[in-house]
Amino acid sequence: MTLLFRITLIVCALLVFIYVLRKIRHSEVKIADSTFWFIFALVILLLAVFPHIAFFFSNIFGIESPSNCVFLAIIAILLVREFFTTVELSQLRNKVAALAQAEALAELDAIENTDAEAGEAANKHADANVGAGEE
Amino acid sequence: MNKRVLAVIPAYNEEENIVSTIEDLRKNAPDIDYVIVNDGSKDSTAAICRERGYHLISLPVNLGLAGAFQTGMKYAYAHGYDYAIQFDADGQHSAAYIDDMVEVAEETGANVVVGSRFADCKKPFSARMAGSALITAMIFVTTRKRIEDPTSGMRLFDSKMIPLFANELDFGPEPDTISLLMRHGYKVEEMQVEMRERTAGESYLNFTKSVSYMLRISLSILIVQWFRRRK
Repeated sequence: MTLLFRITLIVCALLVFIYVLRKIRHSEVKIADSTFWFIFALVILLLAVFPHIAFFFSNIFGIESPSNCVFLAIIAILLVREFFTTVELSQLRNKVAALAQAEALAELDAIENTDAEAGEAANKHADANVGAGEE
Repeated sequence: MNKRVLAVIPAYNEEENIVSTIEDLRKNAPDIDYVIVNDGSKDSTAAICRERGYHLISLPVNLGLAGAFQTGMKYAYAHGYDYAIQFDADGQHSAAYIDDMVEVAEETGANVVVGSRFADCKKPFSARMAGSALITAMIFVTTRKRIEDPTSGMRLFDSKMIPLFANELDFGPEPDTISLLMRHGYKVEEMQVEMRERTAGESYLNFTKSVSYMLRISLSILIVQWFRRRK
């Protein structure tokens, strides 16, 4: 892990941090959704500021270069994140379907109720006319 | 009282508690309106409300507390209420205090009145209250004001606050929003109330949820709120 590499990591972590804050300020992302990115930026920052962490894990796993360890960590984190995003997406798809169905069924309900009421009103009108006719 | 007040009652699977909650409101706060927001309950909450003619908005899907509360606030905004109060469906809140909270708002010009268990009484020093103590400390450090019961769900909002909670992103019924409002110069008062323990049904929080909640709230209060725009 060269010094230039570590400085680049620090700069990138800070850029992520600033950019996410900007998005929050412009109300384009919810704070709850951006928590992951703040923690991610912090992890990258820590790996850059304390290279011993990367040295330690690259020794354990027999990875030749500690910077490879950093790459691996980033990839692993993003993959896990991607999985949770897939889960959330599934749930959102389900919710959208449920909403579309509820809307459509409610619309049909409203039409059928109006028809039923119109039918009853027409029947009452017809009964009244019949009554008048008989007299 | 000549001010129109709406109690917003988000409800998820509260079939065991909803009747006693509404009866408490009808008995002890008869001149305020209420609306139950059924948050896609899987039990018979909605059926019970319809059977008894309770005022009900029924969401077709579950949105969570923030979404359900926002629904109620949208209703409050659309119908021009002077005040909206967040009120729990599980019977922990006591409707008898609502009139007093409105009076505090009227007298002090507060934008938010928090029904607080610890305004006059001391907060117990326990594991359960650790989170609350931490949040109180964070709010104090960033706003120089003490809110003793920041997680209390019994909050009264005035007509300036209602459109913010109805329409804005990240204006959930959470302590970080209260903190943000104070930072932006809005007035938040606390008033002593009594709350009951939950008698039936399940609470929403477990360990993982508590941890991620504290993380999000801490991040929001300590860092993010410095960067948000005043609305």
